[in-house]
Amino acid sequence: MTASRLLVLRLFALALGAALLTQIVSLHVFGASSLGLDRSSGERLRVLDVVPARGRILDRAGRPLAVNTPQFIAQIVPADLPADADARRGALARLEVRTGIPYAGLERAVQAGLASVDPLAPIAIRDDLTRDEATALRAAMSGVDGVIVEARAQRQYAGGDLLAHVLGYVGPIAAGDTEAYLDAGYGLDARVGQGGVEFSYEDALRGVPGEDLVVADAAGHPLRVLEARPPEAGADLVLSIDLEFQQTVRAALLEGIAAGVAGQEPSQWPNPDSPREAGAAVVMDAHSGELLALVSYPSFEANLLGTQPDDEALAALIANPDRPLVDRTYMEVGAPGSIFKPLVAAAALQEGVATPGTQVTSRGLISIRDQFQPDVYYVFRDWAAHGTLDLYGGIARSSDVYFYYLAGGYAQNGVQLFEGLGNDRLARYARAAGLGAPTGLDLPGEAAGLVPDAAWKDAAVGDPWVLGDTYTLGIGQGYLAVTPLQMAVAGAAIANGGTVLAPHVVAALQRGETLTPLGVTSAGTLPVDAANLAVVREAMRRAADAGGTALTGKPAGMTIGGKTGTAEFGRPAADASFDTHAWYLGFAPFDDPEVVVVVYLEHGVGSTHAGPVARRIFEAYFSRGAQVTR
Amino acid sequence: MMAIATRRVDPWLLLGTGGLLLLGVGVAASVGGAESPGAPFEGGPGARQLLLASAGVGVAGAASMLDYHLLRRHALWLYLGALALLVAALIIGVDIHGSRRWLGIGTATLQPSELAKVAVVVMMAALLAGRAASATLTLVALGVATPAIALVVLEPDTGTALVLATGSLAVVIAAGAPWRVVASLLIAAVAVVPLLFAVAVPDYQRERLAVFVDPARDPLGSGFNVRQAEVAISTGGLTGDGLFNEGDSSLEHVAGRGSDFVFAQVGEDLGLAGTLAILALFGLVVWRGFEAARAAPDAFGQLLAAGLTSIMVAQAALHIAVNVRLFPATGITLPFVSAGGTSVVTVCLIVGLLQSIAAQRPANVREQWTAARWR
Repeated sequence: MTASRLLVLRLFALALGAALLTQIVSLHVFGASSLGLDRSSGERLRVLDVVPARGRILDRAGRPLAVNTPQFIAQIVPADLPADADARRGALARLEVRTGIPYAGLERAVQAGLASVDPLAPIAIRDDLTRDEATALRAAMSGVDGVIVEARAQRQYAGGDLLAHVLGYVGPIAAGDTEAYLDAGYGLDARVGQGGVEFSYEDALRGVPGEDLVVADAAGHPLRVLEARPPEAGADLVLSIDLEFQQTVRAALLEGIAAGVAGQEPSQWPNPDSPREAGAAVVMDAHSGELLALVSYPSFEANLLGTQPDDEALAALIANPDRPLVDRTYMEVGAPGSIFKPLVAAAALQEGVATPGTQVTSRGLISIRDQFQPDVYYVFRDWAAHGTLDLYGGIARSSDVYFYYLAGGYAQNGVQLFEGLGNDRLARYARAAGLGAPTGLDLPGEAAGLVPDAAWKDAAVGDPWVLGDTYTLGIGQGYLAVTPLQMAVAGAAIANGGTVLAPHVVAALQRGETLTPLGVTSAGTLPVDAANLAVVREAMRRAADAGGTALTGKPAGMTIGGKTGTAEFGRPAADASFDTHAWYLGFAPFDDPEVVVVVYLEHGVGSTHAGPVARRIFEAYFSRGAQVTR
Repeated sequence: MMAIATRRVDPWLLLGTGGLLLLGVGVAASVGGAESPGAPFEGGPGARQLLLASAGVGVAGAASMLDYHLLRRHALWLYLGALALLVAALIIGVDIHGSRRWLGIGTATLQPSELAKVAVVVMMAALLAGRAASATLTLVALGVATPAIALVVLEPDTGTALVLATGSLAVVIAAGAPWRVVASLLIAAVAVVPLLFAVAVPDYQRERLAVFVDPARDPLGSGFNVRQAEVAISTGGLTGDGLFNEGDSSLEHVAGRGSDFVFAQVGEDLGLAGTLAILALFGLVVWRGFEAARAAPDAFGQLLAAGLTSIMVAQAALHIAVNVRLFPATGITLPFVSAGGTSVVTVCLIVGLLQSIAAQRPANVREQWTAARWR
């Protein structure tokens, strides 16, 4: 290496150093004055967070469901109030006039604040000032330190208790979640989505916070902005739910609930918490998974949990034995009863266990011998002696014996007369249809439900799986536990040709004029051939036609597919009868299904009580079809 | 007269390195102090940087004991190993902020591109040393650097790629590459850059360049960061507001406060005094690095020292240039000072190697006299 080559490198390094030195010195020496920062008077730089406006929530037709309204708050900072006793008295007296809060109360609050750990912590004295009051108060108290009048964004929900579960609310960060939210750039005093779409779409609703780099005076008050990074406002959520349609569905459901409770003899309530006026209705687009209505009753006033929660009302809400906070469409599980049968039929057809012509004779019951004690028989009843039925008739008449056969088969004196699906195959199809796991709904807290099998029973109950378990599973009872939403997903899979949809309540994000649809998400496919699904749909058409059990759900002049369910629960009454849940699963129109409806009543009979609710929902859907599909 | 190979410490190199490492610990503690006032050294960035600096001193010590000729024998394996690590980072690396630069090892991370800087210079020096400079040899040597640079660009890590490119160019220049070749390469680069910019530059880089030109244009906040760095240095004035002041920092919300924007942090905390000290300490280290290159007993040592020193020059200059808005925003650490384990350890390794080369320089008259006296 020659010395001249090294010299080139040295000179290069020197040149770089000189260029940097010039810029460094000029920044240090002249930078502050170019920023206009007067350090001698204590001016300094601050970075202020700028919180973006939270996105609104709109219904399908664009009606606002959640908006931000300004809330005007008057606060006092005890330590900042005039130290001089007379001056403070004067200030508090003026405050009394403007806010209507008695002088004695103000004085007490100030003394308590001064004696507290942090006398600089602002104390809110009024949080319900009108805009005019706030302006007047600000003017009256100008020049007095220690009184702050400020506007905050408050979340205001529309629709009363119609959509409380779906919307959720906005509240302070819970103690256990602090770390995660701080990492995501939230302030400690931030209000974040808690439940409903407010929670699950928090990121979109929140927007992107901005920052201002400001010159502040010695006390920290911003004087001017040096550099601003403007916040990006949150996106508006457009729900797939139509507020008016939701209202109609809810009215229909309430009638059904009342009828269901009234329809059962009061003397029959063997369960301590019966009768409970509760129910749910799910209306879902059969091809997209968009939820057009999602009604759970009882509900609660959405604003109750909002910005300024009313502690007493909240405590009452939590203590309410009817558990209004639980959304019965997707948070609570129960046995589906006979609306599970179409799925059993689909599985039996696909596995070759049955054909549309497979005949089974129901004499009102079948009995099986105990596996271990030959002289003990168990009796499995049908709700009527239907005689001989094919698969269409089995569904249309909802014969239990027919489905005991399909699920568990039938043997007599050691001779297998009918080969059933067996528990494993049946459970596999039930899971493929979306049961036993959350559907992927875009709301928090979804229940998984349970599709029971031998391994589960051994672990959870401690008993071996027996034929009787397969029989009860075959008619949608026993350990099987589903949400109404899961049944809507399974019903849609039968209606749309096998697509198991992930249901959702948010249809699109709206930023300014730009609408971004969220699209269809599929959770899988029901592995049943189209021809077999067509057989099941035809059977459901016959069920919802003259002579079928599901006729009560059919609107006049329209062809639909339907199925009722009446599921026993709780303890038996003295006459060995049970309380029953009422279910209805239907899709319409029959030829090209658009919409799936699931009705669930905590008390009632499927055909008598749930069916008419479904009928009213179908009628409402088709009479307003054009508006619903915007 | 025969050269006497003695183990001698270069005190100036030691001083520069120690000063910069200590400053790094101080700044890290300052950043940590903002998070937990009163106990800047208990846990957090300060303690971590202290640990890293100690590890760095250990590595430098070990490397300085090493006979650097060992590197020449194993140059190829070092080079291939570094390339393998770069490929591994791309495939199984940890993705942080959309960039795959790190390999996860337990809870720690390793940044292979740091090690690649050393390996590439070693490989090029081994290739060029003892061979007559020619256009072909120059291009072959640069061909050795190309895969490493390409892999780093893919991560993407434009800053480190620039440092690698500058370092390898320095090695071929030191090796006597014909000027017409160097000039053609530079002209070609100038011609190709706009084309690359149009085709291969990721959007975020383009945005950064646009922000550099016009800081008010700011959809991603990168201009805000650059402007904050500038403001931080400006407000630092002559002496800054101290390492452990409790006021707001204008860098409070800047993610790379302790690493990519550490120079601005020093400017705010210690003012012109602090930034000049950094410049002076780097001047010291670079001077001694080139001095080691001049005095090295053989061509390999000369090229190695010149190349490693140039790597440090390029990286420090790039970091400072970004911080004072002389260059578009590029995430690059300031050697010795920035938080970042592999960065600190690698630059200490470089210093150790420089020391190892410096130790084998022929003794000057005074040293011979001293040695004779104490014999």
